[in-house]
Amino acid sequence: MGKPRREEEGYEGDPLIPILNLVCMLIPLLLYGAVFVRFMTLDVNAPKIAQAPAQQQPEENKALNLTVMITDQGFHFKVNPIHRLPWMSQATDTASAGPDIPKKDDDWDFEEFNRKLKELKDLHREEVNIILGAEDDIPYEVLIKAMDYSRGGSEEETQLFPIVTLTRGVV
Amino acid sequence: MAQGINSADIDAIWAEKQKAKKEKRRRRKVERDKLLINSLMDAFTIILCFLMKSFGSDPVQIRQSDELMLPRTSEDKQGLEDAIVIAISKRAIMVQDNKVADLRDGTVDESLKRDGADGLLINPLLDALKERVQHLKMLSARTNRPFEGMALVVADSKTSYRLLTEVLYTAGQAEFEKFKFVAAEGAKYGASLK
Repeated sequence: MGKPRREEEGYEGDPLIPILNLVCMLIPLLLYGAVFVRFMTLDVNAPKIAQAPAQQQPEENKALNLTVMITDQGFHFKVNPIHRLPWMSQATDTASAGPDIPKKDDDWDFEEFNRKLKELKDLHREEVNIILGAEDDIPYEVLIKAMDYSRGGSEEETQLFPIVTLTRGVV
Repeated sequence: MAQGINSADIDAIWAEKQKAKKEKRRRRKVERDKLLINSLMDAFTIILCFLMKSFGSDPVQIRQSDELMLPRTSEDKQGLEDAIVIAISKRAIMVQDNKVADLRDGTVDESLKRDGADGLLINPLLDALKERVQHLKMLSARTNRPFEGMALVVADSKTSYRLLTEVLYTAGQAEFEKFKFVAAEGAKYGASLK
């Protein structure tokens, strides 16, 4: 005669039904509110609202003052005239000058933008500030992409210009 | 001896056996049900724990939708902080999930601006933000912590730069000085950003 099988201990069926009902209601509720995407934040300094570029005395002000304007044609660079590089436009207003980095295949050439920023960073290792501006109809995602490229890599030694200040419109 | 068992006895034995079989089958079925409910309870408990964890881990709850699709970023260091949330969707501007101004074709109606179509200041947004600032300053005074004036900007990826600067300018007028743009992680830009 074999050993009598030990009866398995299990939950009692009936008292669990209200708990199961509650759980079944909680799951859709929590699923609705759950966030499966991680969100990151990008620091931005308050926009400068000055409509005209500040009057600078190049002899007194030796800072780079790097400003990049994003227009429908491409990227326009502006720096303190004493630091101007040969590929930068000499025009004082963005509207009349062609872009320093024109669009490529109907899209902004971010790789070239990144290369030019690296060139500037190599010449000004201590500089961390960049002023970004854009035309009125430039989408927010392009600005975020430009901020990502101007920040550079995530390591400190590969960072380019991580401190971003926005400026109102195209100057 | 064989003649001692009549057909009525055989029927009775047969019926008893059938009854025993039925009882056995019923017991087996009940056991199987118990097993199912055990697994189900385990699965539900695990799902519930996972969902509750993801529900309460961030100080600010942001939900993406067709109206509010966040751009992607390669930033990988900072998470969300507890601050006033200014959201710009395709249809409205919201402060802490309360709609303050409607948008038409991605622009604010000029009647809602202080200086008309070319103006930067959005009146209802300024009022809502000032109210929040007043509340935050009162809390800061009670907790002896300085008012930071920080706002999280949650904007749809197609928001125009013009609207963005209008919102930032208005927030600046309401004493907000620090801004953090919120974007979803996971942008892939190629080797140049490594």
